[in-house]
Amino acid sequence: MSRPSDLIQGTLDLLILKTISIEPKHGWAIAKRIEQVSENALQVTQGALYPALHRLEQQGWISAKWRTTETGREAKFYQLTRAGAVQLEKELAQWHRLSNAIGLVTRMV
Amino acid sequence: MKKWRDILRLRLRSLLRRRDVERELEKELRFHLDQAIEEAQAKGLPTEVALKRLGGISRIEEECRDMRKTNFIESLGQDLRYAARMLVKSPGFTLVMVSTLALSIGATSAIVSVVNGVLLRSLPYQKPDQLVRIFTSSLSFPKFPINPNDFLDFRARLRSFESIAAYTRSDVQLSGTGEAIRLSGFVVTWRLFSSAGFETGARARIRSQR
Repeated sequence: MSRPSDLIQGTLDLLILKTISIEPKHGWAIAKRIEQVSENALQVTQGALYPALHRLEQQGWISAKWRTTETGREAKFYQLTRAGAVQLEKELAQWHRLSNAIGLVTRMV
Repeated sequence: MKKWRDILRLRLRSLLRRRDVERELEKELRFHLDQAIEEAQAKGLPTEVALKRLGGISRIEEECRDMRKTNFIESLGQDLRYAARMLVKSPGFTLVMVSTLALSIGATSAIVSVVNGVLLRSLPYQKPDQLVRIFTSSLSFPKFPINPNDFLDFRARLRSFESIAAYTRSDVQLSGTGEAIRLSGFVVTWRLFSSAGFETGARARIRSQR
């Protein structure tokens, strides 16, 4: 996933929103988490991640706060806003619809 | 509601506290970079490999700025400053340009106000579409005023109109202790105001002015 276009448009937003829905995370942790959970299938580069984070923040779906990490460094933590939670539900539903549809077509005999 | 307030706050912050926002962006990306270097070192990889994977920082910063949607306003400000500098540098050009603009804007607004008054706005009468002005017409004078006798005949016999009235210019002089002044005046027939559609008001005003 070196460029956003490598994924279906908008999927990175979904991944980010889902990843921080459990607890606030900083950019690096978000990238690592996505990599880990996807068993290294999805690599989120800095170049795709940070513009996406800033866009989501501008849209009011996530909010940012500076906090100290376990290693004692200052990092910008992102968390889901209420509008973001609503958006996540929407994107999840959309994703399920899409993947179901693709599944149906590809399994067609 | 809260969402829009937050968005507005963020935009204003990006615009007004630009230096803070820039520093934070740099710090944020720096943190990511340091984490990547640490991870590479922990795995025993050369740090160059990690850095190469991250891509150009300045390009990422630029993209983040684009996302904040303030680049547009910033570059607009720069353009305006540049334009002002160039105008100051060549006063002759500035003078010609400003006066051209001033003249053309003035002329345009004058024309527009005339067109609006004469053509677009309807006349201030009750039924302006039913109002006509009658002339007698000949080859040499296609629009010649009606003489009083014709007017009386028309008023008595013409059935095409609800009512007919006449007026003629008749300025008057006003003199007293000082220099005499000329006042514009008209002599009108009784039905003029009712024909134009100002029934009661105008008639009452004429009575009170007597």
